[in-house]
Amino acid sequence: MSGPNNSSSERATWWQAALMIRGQTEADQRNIRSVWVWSFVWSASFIALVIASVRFPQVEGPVAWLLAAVPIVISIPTVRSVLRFLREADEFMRKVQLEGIAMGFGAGAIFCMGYFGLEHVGAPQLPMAVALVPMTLGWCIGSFVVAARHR
Amino acid sequence: MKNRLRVLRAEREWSQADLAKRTDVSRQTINALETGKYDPSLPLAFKIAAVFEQPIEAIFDPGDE
Repeated sequence: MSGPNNSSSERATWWQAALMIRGQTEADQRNIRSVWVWSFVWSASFIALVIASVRFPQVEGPVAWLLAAVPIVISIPTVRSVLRFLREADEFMRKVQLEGIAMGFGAGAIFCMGYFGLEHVGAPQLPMAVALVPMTLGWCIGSFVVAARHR
Repeated sequence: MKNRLRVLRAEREWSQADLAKRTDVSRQTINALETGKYDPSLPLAFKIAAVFEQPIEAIFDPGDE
């Protein structure tokens, strides 16, 4: 029901707010869908590449280079979809996302610099790509927390 | 900054979603404005003023700032 004093019933649940699937403008909804789809495709391609490189180590040469390039190529429309979302988002949603991205960047920076020191005192060496984990998680958790706070 | 969004919206019997649609922002933005958690940009303030057909200063009050 629509009415002036029904803000509590209009309020999105925390998971709707976290996934940003309620209350957004049509442009935001379209752009968010695009970000979700491209992020999924990018992640799937990266995971497939890791599995393929472990299971088929004999694949070398141009084919291996071509396979390794797939996630890189897919990353371009993924980043573009995020940029489009940020450019077309309304000003408050842009602020919410900025806080989320800042948290992600902070988590990644803290992990990279912190672990650099830990490696020198005996922590196991990790591949550089591991830095993506705290960065991505930080962005997701940060965006979820801020979006849920303003649902 | 204080504002009269909730009152003006109630006078017209609009929901937050109705006002959000008229101003082309998310409902969360309207909620953040009404609860004073967010101050609008000048373009958005003008858009809101146009929707309510009132001057900006009749809707937004800088208060003690």
